[in-house]
Amino acid sequence: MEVFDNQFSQAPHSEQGLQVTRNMRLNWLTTSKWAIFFSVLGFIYVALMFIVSFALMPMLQTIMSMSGQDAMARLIDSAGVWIMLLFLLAVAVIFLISLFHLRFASNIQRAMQYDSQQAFESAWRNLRNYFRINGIFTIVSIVLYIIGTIAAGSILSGMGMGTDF
Amino acid sequence: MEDMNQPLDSGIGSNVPEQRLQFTESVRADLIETSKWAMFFAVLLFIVLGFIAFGAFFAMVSGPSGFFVGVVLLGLYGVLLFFPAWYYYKFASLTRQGVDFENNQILDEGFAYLRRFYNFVGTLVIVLLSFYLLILVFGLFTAGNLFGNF
Repeated sequence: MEVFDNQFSQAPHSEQGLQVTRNMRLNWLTTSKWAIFFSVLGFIYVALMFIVSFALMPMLQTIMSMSGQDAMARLIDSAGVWIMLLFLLAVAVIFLISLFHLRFASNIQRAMQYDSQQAFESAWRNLRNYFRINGIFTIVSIVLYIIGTIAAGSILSGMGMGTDF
Repeated sequence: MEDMNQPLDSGIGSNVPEQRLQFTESVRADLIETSKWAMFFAVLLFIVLGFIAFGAFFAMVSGPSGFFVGVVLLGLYGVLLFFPAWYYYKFASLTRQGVDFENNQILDEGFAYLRRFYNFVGTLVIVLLSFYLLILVFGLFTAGNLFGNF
């Protein structure tokens, strides 16, 4: 009896309220199937972008040289490595996002199949990481987009002022 | 030893709470943070929707052809963006409430909205990919015909 009493007394009081129901399991099953689908799409996208990233800079440089825009070609020649690194960083982040998504899906399925509390906790940790990295990536993208727009605007206005005499 | 009698209960009843998987403190904390990020995405989508509505309004007042463009813009993007935003918003708010008030029914609804979000976006992605594939096949077919004539 003592063992049973200990078992119940050790359970946190908050766990009495929230419990896993069959409805939740059905919802999680559908969600996890879609999550696997999205993560596979993400991995395919990452593979394609990885190949493209190595071909992109030489291609752009050739196009700029051939069309006579030597200034742009020189700019790509000097800053090309950094642009490619930024591109590869974005690809790495998308890979991580897909990985967290896949781990959420596989862990929640394993948790439901084997009633594994460890897999259950890992699943929600991975979903949290997925949302977190996605959110940070979105915020950084928006900030970079705004900075890029302002920079492009100032460069264009500078060029306009240069020719305006 | 304590786990030995647990599988006997599995699958009994449709809505009977199951004891094996527990919403521990770490799961709750993860769910709360997930719901906060989901709310962030929902708000972001609603802001984008607002910009589109703004653009569509200006297109509508610019003239008869602009009116048509505005209606198409608002109709298409409105439907495509509103539902994911709404599902994210409901998932975020219901999950938060469910965890905070320890209400199983509300939490259940929250997860249902997450499923609906995935259903909607997944179907949309499949439709869009099929559309792109169709365009690609059509383009290749047309290009093949053009080169075949020469």
